[in-house]
Amino acid sequence: MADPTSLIDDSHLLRSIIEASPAGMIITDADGVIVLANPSALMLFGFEANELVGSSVDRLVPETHRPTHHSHRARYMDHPENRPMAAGRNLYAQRKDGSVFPVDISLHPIQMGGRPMVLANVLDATDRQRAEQEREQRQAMEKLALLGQLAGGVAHEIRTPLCVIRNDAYYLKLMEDRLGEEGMQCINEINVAVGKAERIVSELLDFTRDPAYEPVDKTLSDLIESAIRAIGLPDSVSIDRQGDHSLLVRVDPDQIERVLINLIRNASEAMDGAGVVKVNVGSEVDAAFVEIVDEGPGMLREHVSRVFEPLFSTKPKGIGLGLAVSKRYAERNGGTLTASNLPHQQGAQFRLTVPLSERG
Amino acid sequence: MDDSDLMVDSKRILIVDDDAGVRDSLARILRGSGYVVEVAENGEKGIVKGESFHPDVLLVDIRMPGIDGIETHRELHRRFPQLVGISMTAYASSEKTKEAIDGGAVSVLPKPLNIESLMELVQSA
Repeated sequence: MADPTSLIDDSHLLRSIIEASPAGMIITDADGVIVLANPSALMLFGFEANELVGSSVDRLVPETHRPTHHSHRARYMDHPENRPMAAGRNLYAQRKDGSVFPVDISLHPIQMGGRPMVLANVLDATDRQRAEQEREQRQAMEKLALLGQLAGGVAHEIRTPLCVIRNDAYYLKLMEDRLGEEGMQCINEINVAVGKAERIVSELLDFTRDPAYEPVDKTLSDLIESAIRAIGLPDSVSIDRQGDHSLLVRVDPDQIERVLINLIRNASEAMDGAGVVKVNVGSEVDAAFVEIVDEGPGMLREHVSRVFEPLFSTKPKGIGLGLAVSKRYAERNGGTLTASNLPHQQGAQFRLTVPLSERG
Repeated sequence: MDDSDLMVDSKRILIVDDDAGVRDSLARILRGSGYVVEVAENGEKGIVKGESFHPDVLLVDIRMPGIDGIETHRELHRRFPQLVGISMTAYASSEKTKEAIDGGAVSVLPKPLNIESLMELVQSA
């Protein structure tokens, strides 16, 4: 029997191993020129044999990433080291037909004929990413189901004492002449506080049950003005109304008003309660849009994609359901709700779309 | 005071709620407005008390241990067909609300109660 170490030096054997590998294997030189691509790599990227050898590895990088890929490569060649596949890195590659797909890649510096080369092992990560997404969705659903059970119990337990507090405040208010101005002020404060607590409980319940959807025709003006009245904005916040507020939309007024209340209140709070909230209205093909723009510092970039997640909040006092509920209501009404930052830190913008009424 | 005022003032209200705070605070407000009020802490006691009290209005919490508010109202309404039932609930289940209305309640008020709405309902009962 032959010495196993001498077998490894057998270049035919090595080639067989490379060709049999289920992983896409690509070897490039120091300039990123492909010197070897195994059959799995060709299949992964949709190329025929020998189509890849001699071309730049940049060809396999999504077009949007190509301008920066060159510098990544140069940096790697300055400090070549084994880089294992790592979940969470979320890399993408581009096939010959231009389609982009997720990949897992490990990099290994090697020597071939005395020259420094890089071996890249490439695996299609579509299934892994999908499985991860499904797991995350499942976990979110479980979290929600648990929250629903909790919310139902909490709502009852909190609403009952709130009921007693409000009843007693009502009774005391009947004795206005004995309470005096300060006393009456206290009663008002109690009622405001009960209202706030009630709102939190309702928000929790709104989120955990499927709301009934009862659409009617309403003007955006009706909905927006009613929301503004319900919030009771401080004098330091003003509303700049732009566009055609008389547009007629078909929505469940309670739900869309709740959305507008959440958005306008958030906008006011994002400016620390002083500034101008722009309420810009218009129409697209068969939808109306309402853009709520604040003059605050805008959202952190990593927060923009997360603001609609349940229980995500940047406010010290928020429980993080307002925007999650709002998005659900928007979608329930056949619309959308999206968030973005204006350029140059000019504030955040929330954009709600809802169906236009057929009566126009 | 004419006859109609007299009738309003002597309206008899039975409050059935398993929470003492809710019972007592509502009784205080309604007595303060001149109504004759009795309270009970659960459905069974409410039905027994109702038989001797002959209420015009039943103010009842929907969800209670034992006989619930819907059943309490049904039972008392059978004996007093003129009884006006007003249900209260700390839950937001539209199913229960529908059940209460189907059972003959004129209104289902969410807790915490809007007392002005309650007073209007009681006055027009």
